[in-house]
Amino acid sequence: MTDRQGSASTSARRPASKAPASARTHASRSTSATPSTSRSTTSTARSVASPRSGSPKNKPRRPPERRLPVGSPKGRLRFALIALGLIATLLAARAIVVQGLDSAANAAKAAALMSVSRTIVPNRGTITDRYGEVLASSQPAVTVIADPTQIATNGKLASAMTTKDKAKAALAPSAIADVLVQYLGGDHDAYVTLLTKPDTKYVVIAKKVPAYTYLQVSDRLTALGYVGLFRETAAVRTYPNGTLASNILGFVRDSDNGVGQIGAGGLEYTYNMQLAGVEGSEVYETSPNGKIPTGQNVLVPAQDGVTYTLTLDAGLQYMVESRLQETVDQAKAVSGTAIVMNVKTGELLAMANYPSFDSNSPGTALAANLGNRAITDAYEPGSVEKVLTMAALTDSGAITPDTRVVVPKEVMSGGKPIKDAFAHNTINLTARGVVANSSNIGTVLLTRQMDKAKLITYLQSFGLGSSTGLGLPGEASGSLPSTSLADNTRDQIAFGQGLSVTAIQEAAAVAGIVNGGIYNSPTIIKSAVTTDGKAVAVPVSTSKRVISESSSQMVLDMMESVVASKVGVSRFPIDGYRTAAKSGTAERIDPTCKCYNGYVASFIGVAPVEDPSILVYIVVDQPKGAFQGSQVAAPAYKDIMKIALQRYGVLPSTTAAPVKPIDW
Amino acid sequence: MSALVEPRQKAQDTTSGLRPVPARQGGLGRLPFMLILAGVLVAGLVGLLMLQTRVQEQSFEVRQLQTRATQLSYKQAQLEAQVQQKATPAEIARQATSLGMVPNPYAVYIDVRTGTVVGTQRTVRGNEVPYITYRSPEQKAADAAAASPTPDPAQPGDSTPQETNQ
Repeated sequence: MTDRQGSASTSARRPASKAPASARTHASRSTSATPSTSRSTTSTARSVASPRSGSPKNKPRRPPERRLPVGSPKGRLRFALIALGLIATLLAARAIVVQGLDSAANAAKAAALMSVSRTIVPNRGTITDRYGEVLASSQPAVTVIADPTQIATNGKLASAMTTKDKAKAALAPSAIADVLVQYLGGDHDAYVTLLTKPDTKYVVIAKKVPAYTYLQVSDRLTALGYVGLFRETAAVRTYPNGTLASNILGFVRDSDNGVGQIGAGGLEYTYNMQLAGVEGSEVYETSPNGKIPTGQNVLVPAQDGVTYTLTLDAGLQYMVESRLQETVDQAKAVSGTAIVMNVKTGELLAMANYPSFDSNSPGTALAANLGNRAITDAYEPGSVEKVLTMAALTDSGAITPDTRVVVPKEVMSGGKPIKDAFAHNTINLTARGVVANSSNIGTVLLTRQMDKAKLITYLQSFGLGSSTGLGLPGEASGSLPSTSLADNTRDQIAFGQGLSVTAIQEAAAVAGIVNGGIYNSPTIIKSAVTTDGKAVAVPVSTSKRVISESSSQMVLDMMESVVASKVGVSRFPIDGYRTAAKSGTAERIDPTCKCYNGYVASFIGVAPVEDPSILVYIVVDQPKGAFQGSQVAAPAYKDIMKIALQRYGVLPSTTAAPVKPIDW
Repeated sequence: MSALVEPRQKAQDTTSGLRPVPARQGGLGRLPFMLILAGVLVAGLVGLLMLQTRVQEQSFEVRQLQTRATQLSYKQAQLEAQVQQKATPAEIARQATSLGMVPNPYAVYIDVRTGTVVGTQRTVRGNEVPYITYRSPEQKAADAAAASPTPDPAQPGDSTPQETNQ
């Protein structure tokens, strides 16, 4: 305190001694600023200073230095204290407002200015076949963008370009096009047209370019000294097998924000949420120089999508699809479906549809071919249904394969005659012979021995009339008459008309019947795991007994007679194996006229009879020319069954098929 | 009273043999002390600066390595895609055909316990399973040319009518 007072007093004294020098400046300054103040200070200053001043020449100029006439340091101190106090109060008040009142809002504002948030896009899950072969996977990709304005000057300011720069810029479009052709393929001139498009700064050069390819393009252009190419991140979904299993896998479309993809068909659609994964985020603090290394950094990693392993066998699927295509083309049919199933587990080894599409480019396909006919299309199964009818008949104790039945030329049902596909007079057949010859009349006569409501209950237990729960979108449930059905309806459904099924329902039903009577609901997803190896729940096969084991044997006996009896022995057997089969030729309901128009030819078979392991079912819709299942679908069945038996190491049968009586 | 006095006297007695500790010799003068302080300050500042620089350097390095890692992951993805492409059944069929291989539908089995061969071995001509035998576009064109004048004989699907006619 004493020091300060001392200095204050010194300073107070100083002007007096140095008056002549500073007085001039003060005077000039104050007069120019505020004349009135200067006048008043002048007068006061004069009154104080005049007694000491010796020189009259300086007199009028001296007063301004005495502007603040705080003679005593106390006054100055008080003034300074009040001023400081005021400032301190203001600052404190401001501090309270900032820190105390809206602290949260302010902190958030500050953080927002400094921190940057970035979304981390998860990788879409992979779909593989049962052996891990990739059927669908996602790859980092980019959309290549060009800025023609920048390319025109090769990134230079137009005004600052030298002749050399101009020469280089003139070559740029062609040179960049060369690089693009080298790495992306395509047409040089088309690229040049895009790269020189006038009055724009944004031209899409190529979409879905693998990220690494773009890096190579970008590196090459940097090395050559050209600029003007940019990228936008966008993942790409690839289906390395193209059309293979496309009806099952489905396809994706770009999400609305353009970053991710959304499943739009098949498994991609059903399991979109699981496949998509969960977006992550990174929040970090940044300065104009980039990320602040010691700053706050919150990283929530993205959770990549779930990987699905299917029960499908890609190799088998390929052969089945190829064979089905040949079948449909040769029959000049509208479409075809083929199913290969593991009888013991209900697992689908192959599920083919033709015509189909390429999952990589669903936009180019017909909308009708994007679905999965094996599960979405319900049709009248025809004679293949007799397997189910016989299963119900044997299990209810109504018949055995040797039950004798007299088959007349025709039988009346609801006032209309039912006939067989082959002309005959009255013949004597065993139940086995009814199946072997595929006699509608025989089947109707046998079925009339059973309670009709019970028949419907059996068919329901075989899975008809309700979807199989496969987990694929758009599965139809087909239609089954109620238990109070009319007698003539019963007669019709006995041989597979008057009810509708999907191919997958029919295949699963027959598989259950021949599998010792244990029905396994079909499955197409084997397992699913997250990226950290945790299992994800998938639809599982449910098992139930639908008929007794002995009934199952009886049905197999009847189905084997289709192949081994004189009716089919020349056409259906597979070398080395005892097989059981049934053909089907059904009149097809035309939805437009609600009448029968065209046929559905089908063939189903299992092998080996001793221990049924593999089931193959072929359905051909509206073949032209030959329309019998035994003609149109059987050859494909045989080829596919042969391959499947080999592929799964099913040993050939050791015994020959027994020849059992089909007539009497 | 004496009780209060006595201990004091006693204490005086016990300490009577002690001498005062001599003043510390050579204590830091004001200047060296300031120098040391300055030195510590400078060392601290330099240390801090170096630490900051190092952290910056490392963050640049981290960024560079992250970029590199991303680029390599792109490369890996591309290579994986190529492998997937090459592993498709259609591509394998094509490659096998180009090596002169043909599909064999007549498999036989060897029972390793007894060494016996189960099944019938048969010669394969190469046209048994036409639908999975890859035909190059040129071969297909040749097939079509050969097929058009005489539609029946060596057609790819010849096995089918044969079997149904039997």
